[in-house]
Amino acid sequence: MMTACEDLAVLLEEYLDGSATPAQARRVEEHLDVCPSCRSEIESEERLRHAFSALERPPLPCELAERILAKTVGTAPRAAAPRLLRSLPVGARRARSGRPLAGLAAAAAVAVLALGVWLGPRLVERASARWSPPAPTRSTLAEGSSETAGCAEIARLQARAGLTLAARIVLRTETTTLVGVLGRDIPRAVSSSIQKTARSSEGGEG
Amino acid sequence: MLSDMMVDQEFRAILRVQGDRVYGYALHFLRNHQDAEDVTQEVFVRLWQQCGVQDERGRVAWLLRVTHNLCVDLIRRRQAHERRIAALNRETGSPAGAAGPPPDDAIVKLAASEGAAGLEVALQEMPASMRSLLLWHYHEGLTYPEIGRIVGAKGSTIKVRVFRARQMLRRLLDARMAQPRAAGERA
Repeated sequence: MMTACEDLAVLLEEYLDGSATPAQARRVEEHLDVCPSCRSEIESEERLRHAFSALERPPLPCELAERILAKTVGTAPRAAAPRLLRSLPVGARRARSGRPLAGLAAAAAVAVLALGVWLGPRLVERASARWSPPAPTRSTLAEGSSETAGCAEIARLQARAGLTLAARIVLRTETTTLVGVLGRDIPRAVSSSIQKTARSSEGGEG
Repeated sequence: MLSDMMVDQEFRAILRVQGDRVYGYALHFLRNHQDAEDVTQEVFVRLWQQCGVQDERGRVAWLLRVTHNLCVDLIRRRQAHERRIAALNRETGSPAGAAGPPPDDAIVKLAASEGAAGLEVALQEMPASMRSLLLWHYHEGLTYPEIGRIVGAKGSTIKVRVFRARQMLRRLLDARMAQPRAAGERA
């Protein structure tokens, strides 16, 4: 059976921190009125806290701060790529509802589409640099369609290259992101959806 | 993806907010300016290389844990060096005490009062683990759960450890008060 002193020793810290409830504080004070031992204990604790508070708090020297920045800022931090994922709360990373993933997938899709729109024409430019429109012949001139056909072909290649590239990046991003987040627990519906997208993108009609 | 500029700004902000805490803890632990600066620099270089921990509370725990570990490593190396010097002195017949503690002017005095001065000395006589618990709780104002995050223990466990550390500190302080003051006291 605990003595009153042992019982109240548990409350001592809360009492000194000011976090004890009014009822607890009253109990402690009533006990201190009649117990010199506990009174001595609490006074000793207060002196200790005062001594710790008297320890100085030296500021970080300016020269040291500058040395630290010289060795850090401006140099490439390692593992910069996973930083975005690390900033997500742990719960969101493990969520199975898919809602937190929707935001990530949407952001990835926007980035991929932008990349596809930017990169697609450049790939086609390279391709078209190797492709030269057929020399106009009497018959094509007569048909009046050689330049038009060439332009249409370039446009078609451009659209196809952009869409194919975007689809491949989406597929790879989706798969990597979902596997990285959900591990093996990718819902069947999601993995089927990815596979369907893959089939249509690989065999896309121009 | 965060831009380099945002990473730089975030790191500068962390250094500005937590730099004093890291440096101050290292200085109280090591009581040597140069060592404390070396430890502080290493802590923030490591933070930069790891891109930090995003959660604020986790970041404070990480910073103090790394600072503490580096301080302990430094003390061990210092003690090992002193032992080697002492052994060398014995072999060569050099006068004893040549490998003693650093001179007084190299020891940082961090007390603003006489009571705090006695506290400093007593803290240095304690095991590093107990010293750090008391500094974290009483000087840094960390709660038991927050300290638990640093050392990987429950808050209730930390409460017991702090209680024991406090009891040891009181015994050391009482013993010092009972002794007559001596010149050149060991730091």
